[in-house]
Amino acid sequence: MSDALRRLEILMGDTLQILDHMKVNSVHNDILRTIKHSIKEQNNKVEALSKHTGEQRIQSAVSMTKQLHAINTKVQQLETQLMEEYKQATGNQIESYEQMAFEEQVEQKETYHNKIDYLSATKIQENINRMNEVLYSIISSS
Amino acid sequence: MAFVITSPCMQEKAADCVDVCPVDCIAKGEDQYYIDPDICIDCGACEAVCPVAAIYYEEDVPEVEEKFIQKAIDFFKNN
Repeated sequence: MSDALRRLEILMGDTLQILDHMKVNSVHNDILRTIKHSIKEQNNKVEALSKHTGEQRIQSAVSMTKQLHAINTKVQQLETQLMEEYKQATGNQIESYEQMAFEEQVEQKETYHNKIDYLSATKIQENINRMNEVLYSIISSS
Repeated sequence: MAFVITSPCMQEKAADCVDVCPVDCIAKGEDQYYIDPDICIDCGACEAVCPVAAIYYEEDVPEVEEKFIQKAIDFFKNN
């Protein structure tokens, strides 16, 4: 397997690890489950991509970028909702909350969870963008 | 961007950071602990609890400690 494909697998595995640690409110369970399932699906396609060459490889990579964009749209929706919850939990005072000492932040258990889930969603978007960059490099070098 | 563990950890290896990381992105190496930059969500919990101030946000790593940014990348590439 090439370095690019190995990198893609690592990014997907790391993203799944972040998703596994998220403890969102039950209203977000469906979207979280869908995102997780979709990332797993893409992860399963990496092995197949490693066996493709030429035009077939380009088509597979293009298809994966399209699906990753669709997943990222869902992650953005989730991030917006989580940001709103975090904002509400702090009484619209996110900056003041984040200026508190770590121990004080943790004491406000629910708010702290909101913060971690929001930051997790942000990181997942970042990782999906990185996955797409890897796929673009595969497309341009095929 | 991520947080980075630098040289003071090499003498200490206290591991307080491991206990507070909400995404389990800190791994034990032979000579120090490492933060996986692909998993770190930038919450800063590790930085807050490190007893030897070894942890910096990537952009704030002092020049003399910058080699630890690449060291962490290499650690996770090879492990």
